[in-house]
Amino acid sequence: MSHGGSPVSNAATSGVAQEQGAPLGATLHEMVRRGRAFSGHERNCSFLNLGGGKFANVSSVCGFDFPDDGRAIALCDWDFDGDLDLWLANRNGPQVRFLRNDLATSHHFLAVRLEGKTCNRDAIGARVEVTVVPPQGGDARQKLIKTLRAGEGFLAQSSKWLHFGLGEATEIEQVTVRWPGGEAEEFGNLAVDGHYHLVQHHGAAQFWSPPKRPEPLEPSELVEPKSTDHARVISAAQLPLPPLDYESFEGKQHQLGQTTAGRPVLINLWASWCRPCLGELRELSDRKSELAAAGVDIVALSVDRLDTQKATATTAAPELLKNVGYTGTAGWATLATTEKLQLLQDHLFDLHQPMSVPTSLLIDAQGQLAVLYRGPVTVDQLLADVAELSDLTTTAKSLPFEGRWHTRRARLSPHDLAWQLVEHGYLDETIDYIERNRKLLESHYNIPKLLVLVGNGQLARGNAKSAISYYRDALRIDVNYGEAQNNLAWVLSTHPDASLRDGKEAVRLVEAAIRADSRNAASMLDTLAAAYAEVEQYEQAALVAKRAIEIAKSSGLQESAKRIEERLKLYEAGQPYRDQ
Amino acid sequence: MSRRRKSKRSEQTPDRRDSKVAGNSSSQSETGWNWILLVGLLFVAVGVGYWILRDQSNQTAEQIQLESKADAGNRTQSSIKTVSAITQDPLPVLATDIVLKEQELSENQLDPGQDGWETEVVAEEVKHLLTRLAGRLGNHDVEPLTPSEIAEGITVGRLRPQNLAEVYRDGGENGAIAVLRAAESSEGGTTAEGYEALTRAIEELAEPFAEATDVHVHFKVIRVSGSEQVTETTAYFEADAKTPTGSLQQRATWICQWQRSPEGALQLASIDSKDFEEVVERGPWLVDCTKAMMEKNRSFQEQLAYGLNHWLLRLGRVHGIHVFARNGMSLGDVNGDGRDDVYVCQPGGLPNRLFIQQDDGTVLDRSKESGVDWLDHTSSALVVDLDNDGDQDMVAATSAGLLVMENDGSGKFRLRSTLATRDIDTQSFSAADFDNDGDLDLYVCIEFARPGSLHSEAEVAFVYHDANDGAANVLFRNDIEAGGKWEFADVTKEVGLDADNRRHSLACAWEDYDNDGDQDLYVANDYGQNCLYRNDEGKFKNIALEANVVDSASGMSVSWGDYNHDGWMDLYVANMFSSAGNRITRQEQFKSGKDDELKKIYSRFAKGNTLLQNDGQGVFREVSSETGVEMARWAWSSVFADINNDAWDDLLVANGYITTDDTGDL
Repeated sequence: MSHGGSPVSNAATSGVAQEQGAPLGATLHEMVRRGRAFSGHERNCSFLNLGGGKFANVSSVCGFDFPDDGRAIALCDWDFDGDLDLWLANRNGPQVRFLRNDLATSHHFLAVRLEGKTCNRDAIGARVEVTVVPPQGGDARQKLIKTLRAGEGFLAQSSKWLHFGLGEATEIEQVTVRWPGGEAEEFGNLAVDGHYHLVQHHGAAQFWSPPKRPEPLEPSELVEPKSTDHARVISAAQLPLPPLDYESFEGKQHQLGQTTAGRPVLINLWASWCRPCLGELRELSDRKSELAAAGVDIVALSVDRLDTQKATATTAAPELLKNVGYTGTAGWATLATTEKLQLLQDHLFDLHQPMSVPTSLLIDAQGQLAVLYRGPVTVDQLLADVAELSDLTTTAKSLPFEGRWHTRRARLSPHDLAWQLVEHGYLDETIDYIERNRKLLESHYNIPKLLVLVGNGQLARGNAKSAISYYRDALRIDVNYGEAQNNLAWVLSTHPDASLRDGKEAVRLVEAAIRADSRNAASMLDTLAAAYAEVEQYEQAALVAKRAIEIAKSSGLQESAKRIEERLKLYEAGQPYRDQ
Repeated sequence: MSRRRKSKRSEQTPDRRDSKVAGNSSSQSETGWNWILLVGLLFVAVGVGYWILRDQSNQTAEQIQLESKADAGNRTQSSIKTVSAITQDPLPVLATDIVLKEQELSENQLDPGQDGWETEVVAEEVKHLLTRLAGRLGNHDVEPLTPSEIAEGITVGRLRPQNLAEVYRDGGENGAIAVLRAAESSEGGTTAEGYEALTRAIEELAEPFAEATDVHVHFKVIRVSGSEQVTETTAYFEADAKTPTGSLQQRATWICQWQRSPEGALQLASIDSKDFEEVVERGPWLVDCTKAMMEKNRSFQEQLAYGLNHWLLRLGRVHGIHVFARNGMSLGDVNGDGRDDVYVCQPGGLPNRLFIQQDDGTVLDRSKESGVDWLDHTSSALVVDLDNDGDQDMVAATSAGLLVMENDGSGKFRLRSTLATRDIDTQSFSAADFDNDGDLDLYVCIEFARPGSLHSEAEVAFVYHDANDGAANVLFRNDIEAGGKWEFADVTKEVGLDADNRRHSLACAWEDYDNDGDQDLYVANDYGQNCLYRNDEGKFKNIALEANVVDSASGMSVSWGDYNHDGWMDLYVANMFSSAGNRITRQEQFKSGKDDELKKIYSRFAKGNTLLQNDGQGVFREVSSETGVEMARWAWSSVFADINNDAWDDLLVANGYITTDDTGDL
């Protein structure tokens, strides 16, 4: 997790152009989000300690090599039969596994459970030393040590029973417990193959008789059940929809939402080559009076024109609708609409799955996505959801299982979606989306950056006035936001329209930006030089530009250095720079 | 439609400080992401986008058109299935221009041949050729190598050494495990020449598999070097199978030389094997009893049986479920009946589950009744007695902070305090009494800083191998008063644990490594160097460097154990092993122009797990490679555990990052 921050691009409005590659880790993360495997299909490993400083790989023969994307391992002699069994937590299904240790050996064991009296009661941190006499009077006595820990490995906690394998040893000479803090206590008279309680300051080990051993559990091979594409997902994100359009079969453009304001609407994406779609449309048609009574509108948008792999006659869709008796709103989905709906889903879900058909979206009367249906939705389900619409997104009903929240997030900020819209070139839609959802957006930490991006987009279109107002907006929220300061200063210094320029303010802005952050020295110095030139301080402008060139070159930004060099010539000739 | 620009998805970064208009902070892009991309892209699949393959709809619009017409005339005998009659068939994917182009873009990025990494292409080829060569072991689906793929006069070493000796036998004559290796003096044995020699060597290797079933053979190519004419490759060979008496596995490192045929195809020119190891096992060992253990529980059948990929498409981000989520588990006896129970942590939107052990050894879900069915994303939990009253309390590390719950003695829990942390990306945590005052304190690892909550003093660029911009881990001192409030104090700073504390930590474990009676702390960091904080009367000092335990790599797990019976606790630290990373970081092209030191650091990153042997004098020696526990793949929990009771601690390693339907992964 934590890679879920906002996407950011470096728009080059001014100063030093972005010559560097994108932050590439993000590419990788996006690929994973799109369902690519990443070091997956790797099986668990285990190594057998052979003594003498060598291990052998026994991953397969010991039966541990599951391809589960394993995470946690917790150890415990679950069935009290004298060897360690394992619990595993996995990313793949099954998310838990229990592996019973059935190895038949002639080895012995000792299991101890500790109880602290003056130290912590669980005796976490206690060190237990077991000295065993080797079988048949072998050479040296062996001292085995273990520490009781709470939390080790990764995301895991094992049993508080300390389990010692003893090999062939049949006699325990001594058990010493070093309680947390260092105090040592010896326990005598422990026999192999036993469970004991060792209580601090008690002196004698207490034999503990494990509960009657249950009938052994039946082993079986377990794999994750097959998942399906079909799903009904309640959004719970209270997310406003971006502006969407469609084209009627007669070729007229429509905004979705204009006709349906104030009423819930089901947007249904379907295709002539999609059999389940037809069944769904048939049912929606057959029960249209019930749907009308429930107050829900249906908009069926055909994607026939969009799928480049399935050529479909343009007459197919209207004809099919007629054949199934569909009389509601219908038309063609546009490429922009499907892309925006894809972005919407990518925003809602961290795993990004390309849209399939049929996909339907139930939008509530406030224009927020309430339910997403992958695969056909039954009218019964739809009616039930419409009836509960006001409850659905705000209650536990949005979840598959009961449970309790400590801190429930009421909504997902629309910020990232706005970001994606502008990133994908939907500038008008972004502006519309921002203006309609300002209040929701302004609480997001990254909103100044979004406003600057929109400003950059406007500037690129030649709409400097609007760009200036977005930069100012960003600064209203974060007065010290360097990028806004820099970009605004650039426009104020270099715009061909004199009425938009303000050299003094530009100097003030970019000086403040440089004072606060020296990391973007080249681009900011470039802007500063332009600002000085605008207030006719050409000598200073040239000086600063030279420094910017130096820094650009030393950072490997040759293109940028060249551009600043051209500006430098202007300053040296006593002329300001004008952006074209 | 014309409005659509080329996708800019690749230019996303997680936070705003990287977003200056003409950003040119070179440290970030050059040192940081380069490596991730290189290795990452090669980890990620090379191949056809799976979503197109998923489109199995062969129905044409015309067919449906005809049916619908017939249908329109006869509504009673519908040939178009109604919704309720439709089975859960795979849905056809909408393949628009945009979807296809983005897919093409990503595939180009993923094709190593296009990036100037020709050796990566060779590695792929070699892997296929070796797999075919070893097909004789039992994988009859692969086509054997043809004589034209073998160079004339090929030099062949013994693939299964002649002088195999048993180096380990478990439990005498009835022994369940035998390990065979070549006698050290003369590994391999003699070499021979020619196609027939190769056939013979393969026959010898396959001999133990004569009666085997369920044979798997796998290669990992870890090095490619050489010139246009002769290429040398190093590959790990792994084969395993079931035998009539148990199971069998072989491991070896194969060193091959290849030449190009006049047509440009690779030809095997020499082959030799080293580090051969064969393990023969009799009877069952670890046996999967999950089904019998869990099947009575609806929460297992409907929730835990499915993996994260299933849930990621059914729960929105708003609930706190993420692709990179990691969720752990804890054992502990919560109801005081002498038997351990198990608590399973879950991503946001799915309730954590507490399973209580029953008389018959199975478990029953009691999450709700116990009050621990939290829906907040929970990375890990601990079951410990925090108030020393004899029952097991619980702490869950969630996105809302550490939830500290008191046990009423019967296994019912009540939330007593919420320990908020500045950053929310909690990972592993561990309890110990660091100040020896008789109660358990909590140290929690947190990986990433919360986006937008950046701390100005740490606005340093992310450096992959030495990051210092992560979240700050926290030590909470237990200040619970008997019968009073359950208070904990953040004492990270006052005990000195704020030093080197921004390194993207994933795991930690306490241990008295210097046998002086107090608890020291090792912290494994994903992007930063690891830390060993020595406890000097309750104050900590990071002595990782002088103790030689920095282990510069992506640390993911910590386990302590005395693997060599010398009375000092040794350390096993998990990292990621990457064969692609091994290959690339050793090439000239990798980080060309960077100094050799840096290259070494990156190369080390991909090498695998680390075993650090405690010499008892305050210094550890790395023995990962010589002991044979280094190559453990993309490792997570990696722990000491004696799984055959022979008194020597073995190692268990949980593995794999993200598996999907995509089969193109390495």
